[in-house]
Amino acid sequence: MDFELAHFPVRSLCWGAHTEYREGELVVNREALRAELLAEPLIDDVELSIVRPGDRTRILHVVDIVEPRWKDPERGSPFPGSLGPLYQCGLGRTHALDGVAVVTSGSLPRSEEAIIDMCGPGSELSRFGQMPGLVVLPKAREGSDPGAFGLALMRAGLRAAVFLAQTTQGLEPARTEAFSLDLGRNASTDLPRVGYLSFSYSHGIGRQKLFYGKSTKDIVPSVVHPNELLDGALVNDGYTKPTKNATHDILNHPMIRELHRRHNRDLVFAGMVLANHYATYEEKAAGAWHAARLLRHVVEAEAVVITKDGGGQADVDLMLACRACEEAGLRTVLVAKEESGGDGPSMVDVAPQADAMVSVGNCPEKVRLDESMELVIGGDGFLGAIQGDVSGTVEIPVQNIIGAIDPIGGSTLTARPG
Amino acid sequence: MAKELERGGIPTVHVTNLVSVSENTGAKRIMSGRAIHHVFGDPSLDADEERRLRRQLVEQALEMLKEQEGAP
Repeated sequence: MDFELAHFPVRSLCWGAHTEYREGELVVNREALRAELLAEPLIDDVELSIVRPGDRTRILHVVDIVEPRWKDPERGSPFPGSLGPLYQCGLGRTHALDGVAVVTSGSLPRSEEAIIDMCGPGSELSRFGQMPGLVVLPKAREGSDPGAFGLALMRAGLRAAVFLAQTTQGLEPARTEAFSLDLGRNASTDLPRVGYLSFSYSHGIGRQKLFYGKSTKDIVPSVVHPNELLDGALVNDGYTKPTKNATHDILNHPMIRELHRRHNRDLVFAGMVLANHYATYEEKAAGAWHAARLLRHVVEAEAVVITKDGGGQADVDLMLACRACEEAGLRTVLVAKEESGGDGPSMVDVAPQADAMVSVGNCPEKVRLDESMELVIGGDGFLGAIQGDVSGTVEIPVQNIIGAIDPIGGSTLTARPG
Repeated sequence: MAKELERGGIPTVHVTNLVSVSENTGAKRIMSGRAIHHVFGDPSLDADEERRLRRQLVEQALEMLKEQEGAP
């Protein structure tokens, strides 16, 4: 399966009379973008802002972050099913605007705080504090159902992303990147066959991912092609944000990219299984066995890397899958964020088979943000238990800085035995 | 918490859907609830059926309180 990303790096982002991309400069017509986003019937109005690295700006209540993508409409939408017509993902060429983020913000039921700081210590902990961003802050039509508005908010982020990347239509990219991966046995190599098991948040509206527009709540563990995830098949619909992956993370999937990079060098990337975090223990157990069988007998992996999408209940899936894979004869490595409050355990569940784990950071670890902000976008107070000056000094768990802890391995934090 | 209450002499049932977590923690009386988001209910049932289910789950938990430690 051959997929090609055409890269268009963005060095500056500003408002202007015409929406266009020219040699690294992305200019956006604010009114045209506003009109595009008001196509969502549940969005009454939308506030649009541009943020740049170094700005004394804080963004609150972040819902999702999207990388702008465009592809020839004959081959569907860059986010098929979630926004626009269906077509297979991970084939042919897709345009990407690099180093820029569309950030949606909103306060929805049971939202958890997710912050982007454009300067100071918060910006150093997340790649999203280090790239220009276009912030989309929609206002709900009065009386709209919060869940339905949440979906409209999600689509607004995708719409803005397509609107921006459309500017690259017909242009020559700065570089292209090929992702060629034919799944199936290749007899000519002795390299170990490594599979990837990716769990996805899946607890209903606002607490899920969408796979080709369908809730991950309604999928069973399935063999998918890794290129599909790099090309918009899976998007985030979640406002219980910290420690779940944003769409931007999935489009640049660090684990899939790394397995691609090492394919036929020191391992064979045998394929992957996409699974969901079921809501009952019985389904979790059945899902773990099912995923292990697919990895062993369909993907024909000899070893597996497993990542999760969330915390607490997600640890149970991680451990059940670890046990099922090890018992199927697959050596298993788990990638997990930790929840250690100090001297307590860092996972809510541990299987005896879990003897190889990589930490992507400890969520409750406190960080002090001490930069004074001139502009706060998205709200006038923190959500949840965070107490402090919304435009000044505040001590928060590192997990509330979105991007600081990346469950699929894109962050720089880790934890080692002390 | 279940463990500490039990240690303090108060019989305690931990109702949870994540049974393995409770087992690893060392809770003594564990009852499997309906689902992780709603251990004592099931929004997919109609109101009367759900009321019956809730009652049944509570009664089951109360029955477990009577069990002696170490008894099957």
